[in-house]
Amino acid sequence: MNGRKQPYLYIAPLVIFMLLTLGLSLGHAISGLTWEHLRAVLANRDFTHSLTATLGVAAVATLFSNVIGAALAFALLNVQAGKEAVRRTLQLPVIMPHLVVTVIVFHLFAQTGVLARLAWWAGLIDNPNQFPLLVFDHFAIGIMLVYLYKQIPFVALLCTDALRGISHRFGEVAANLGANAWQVAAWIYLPLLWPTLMATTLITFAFAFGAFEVPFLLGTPAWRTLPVEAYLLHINIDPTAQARAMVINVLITGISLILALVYSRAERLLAHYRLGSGDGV
Amino acid sequence: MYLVAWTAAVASALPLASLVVLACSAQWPFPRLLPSVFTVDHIARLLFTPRLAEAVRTSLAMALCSTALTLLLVFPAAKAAGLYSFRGKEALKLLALLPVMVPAATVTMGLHYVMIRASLAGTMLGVVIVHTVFAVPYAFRILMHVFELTGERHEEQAAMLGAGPWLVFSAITLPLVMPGMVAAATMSFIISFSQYITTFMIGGGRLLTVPLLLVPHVQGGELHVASVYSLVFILTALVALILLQALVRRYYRETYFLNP
Repeated sequence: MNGRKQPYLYIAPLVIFMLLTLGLSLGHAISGLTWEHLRAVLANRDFTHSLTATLGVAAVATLFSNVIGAALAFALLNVQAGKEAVRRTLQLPVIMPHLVVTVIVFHLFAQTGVLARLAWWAGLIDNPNQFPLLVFDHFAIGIMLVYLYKQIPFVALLCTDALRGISHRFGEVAANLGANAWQVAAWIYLPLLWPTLMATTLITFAFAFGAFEVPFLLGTPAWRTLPVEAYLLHINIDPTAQARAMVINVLITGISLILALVYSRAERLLAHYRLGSGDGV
Repeated sequence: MYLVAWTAAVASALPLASLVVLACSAQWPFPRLLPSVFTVDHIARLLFTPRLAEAVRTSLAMALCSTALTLLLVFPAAKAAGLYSFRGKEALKLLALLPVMVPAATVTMGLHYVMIRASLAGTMLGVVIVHTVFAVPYAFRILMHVFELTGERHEEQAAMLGAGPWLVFSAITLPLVMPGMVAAATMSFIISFSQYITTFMIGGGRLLTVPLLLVPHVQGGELHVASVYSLVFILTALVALILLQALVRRYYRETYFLNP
């Protein structure tokens, strides 16, 4: 087969397409980069504020969704009856568009939302203003609720698959030697789950870091994340604002490239673990 | 354990149910837990408008075109990456991963200038191309794994028995990887269907899709309208995907008497 010798012919269409789109897009942003603009952006208080806000929201959402998701995966592993039903239901948030989840978060958590009504019935509040601000709030809770709703099931499903792939003999051996259920989970399965968790951590972080719609619709000016900040500068008529938008985009891309490199490294590690875990056992 | 699992399942499903209740409510003043007036009249009023019909049509057309383009580009590349080892394979994988890692808004802002230069801004083709960029990582990944699993021994055998390249492709390769193709197409379709900021920027307001119709109502806090459009959004995608999968299943049964 000549395909074996010429894989480059096979990959050419995709590579050319990606270079013409991603490549030119990045090229354009870099071509507009000057020291002046870079310095102006880095010295701007809006930018540093936005950077910390973006990293903060992404880090907190990633931490919670991965810790809760992994814990949920361990719980799911022991569920036999109704396994398929639980699994299908958990897939709902994963496939639901972010925009729709944003609508739902508004509906549930706003001051006149469903939770506030429940609080009223429980006698906790007398009027909507007494309900804590959870959307357009001071701590970006509304934004994080969207991420958590979508990402906890995502992490849980991937981790359950990974745990099922790990031979149960390891756990049985440890249990035979006197380990209790917690010890088996913490010392046997968690280390084997680590590469999967690393992958889900990177994916969830990259998403929360780069998402546009959610912070655009649910964020207050104090929680303007970098992509939103860049977009608002991009649509500004002032040409220097557009140049600043490009600088921010180059910086965002730099961070994303680092994430992508770490991810592909983690993935090779994952393949290594899979081979080492012995599928035939 | 069961309690945890079922709590998680209920927590996943309940918000969607509340969306349906919201969509069917005409009046829902504050302290009430359920709407005072249930009706589908306003849903009908919102549904049968030319704007929504246009949005659904454009969304579907774009998602289908983008899915087709994604599969065309990704199929050969994923085959190469899944079956052969060659220099630059890791670089190819990294390139195909990038659109997941680099934020869509960032890529789109750069592409905005490129599309204007190429006079593709505000055109269907321009938007389809941008959607495709973001569908590539998922489709590539899925098909690469499928090719890794199937190998090419069956193809070699068919070629040895005298089948030409086209026959090998249509009778061996395609049926073998069809489940992967369906999965890749499903992902591509969903991704294109859910795009907001890419369509908004590259389409320049000339192309109306369902997310574009939805967003102003979220911004304006008109949750009743937003919930109806949200349901249209979910249901259209669902129906389209079920049709696609049913078609493939029929093709399998009629052609190969198999169930995928």
